[in-house]
Amino acid sequence: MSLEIPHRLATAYLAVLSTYHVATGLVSFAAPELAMKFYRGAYGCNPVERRHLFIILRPWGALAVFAGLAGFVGLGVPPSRAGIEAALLVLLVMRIAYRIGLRNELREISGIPPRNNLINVSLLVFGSGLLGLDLLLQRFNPFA
Amino acid sequence: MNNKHTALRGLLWFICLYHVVLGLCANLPPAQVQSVATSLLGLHLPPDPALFQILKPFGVYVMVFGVAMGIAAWNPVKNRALISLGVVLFGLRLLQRLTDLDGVQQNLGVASGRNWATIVTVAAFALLLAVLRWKLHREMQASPATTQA
Repeated sequence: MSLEIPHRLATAYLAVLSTYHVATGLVSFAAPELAMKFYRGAYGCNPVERRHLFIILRPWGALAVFAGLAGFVGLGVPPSRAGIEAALLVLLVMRIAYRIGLRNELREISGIPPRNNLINVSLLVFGSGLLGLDLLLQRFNPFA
Repeated sequence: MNNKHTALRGLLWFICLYHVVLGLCANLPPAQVQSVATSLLGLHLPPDPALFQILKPFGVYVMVFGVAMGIAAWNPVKNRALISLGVVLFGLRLLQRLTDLDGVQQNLGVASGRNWATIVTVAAFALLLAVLRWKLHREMQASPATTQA
């Protein structure tokens, strides 16, 4: 198998992941109420108490913008790519663990239906697989 | 690994360690999260299950920021773009704390003095990181050969 195909797929995924993080991060930072509507539509997340969540959404948005911009840096500055891919892989793997480990709480507290959760876990597994494979095949060493 | 740029690397390692530990703490049981939030940040978190649930993935993003700063600390020349992004993030956090001043104090029970102390601390980190990043840029311009990644 050519190494070029998984690398191109990982590049495309990194671009989509980065765009998603910058876009949702900016909305969360600038308009938390609009972001909550988006998360309800996209993830089925519908918590009852929201006053405190709006306060958390803004710093979370800033961190998401950082993650997204870091992804773009990885695409535009090849020497930085391995480290950034490794950091984003950590993010995806931890989100998988969180969505699997807390699946009952996600359903009961945030109202996220199991089907939506499964779809999200599948997307995260797909993405982390692509980034992990790219790091392995390209022999990327984040600490080189 | 680049052993130069001691001040920059020391600051980056500190930011890395602080954020990784803080991110891990967000994933502790609610009572311990409340305790850490009060002692470390002056936050008085209400016993709202949805809040503690959202704090867990929030903590993951905090940790990943810490990991990114660790990667930058490992090789600041090669990963200098991450340092610039770190400055951007501190700037966004500063903007958020200033624009959410009342919200943070009222909804998260932060005393006014403590809130301002946090704002000054975030501003100091943003400034220090920006100055050291600028210094790195100047060094790279002055002697490109000795600052190669």
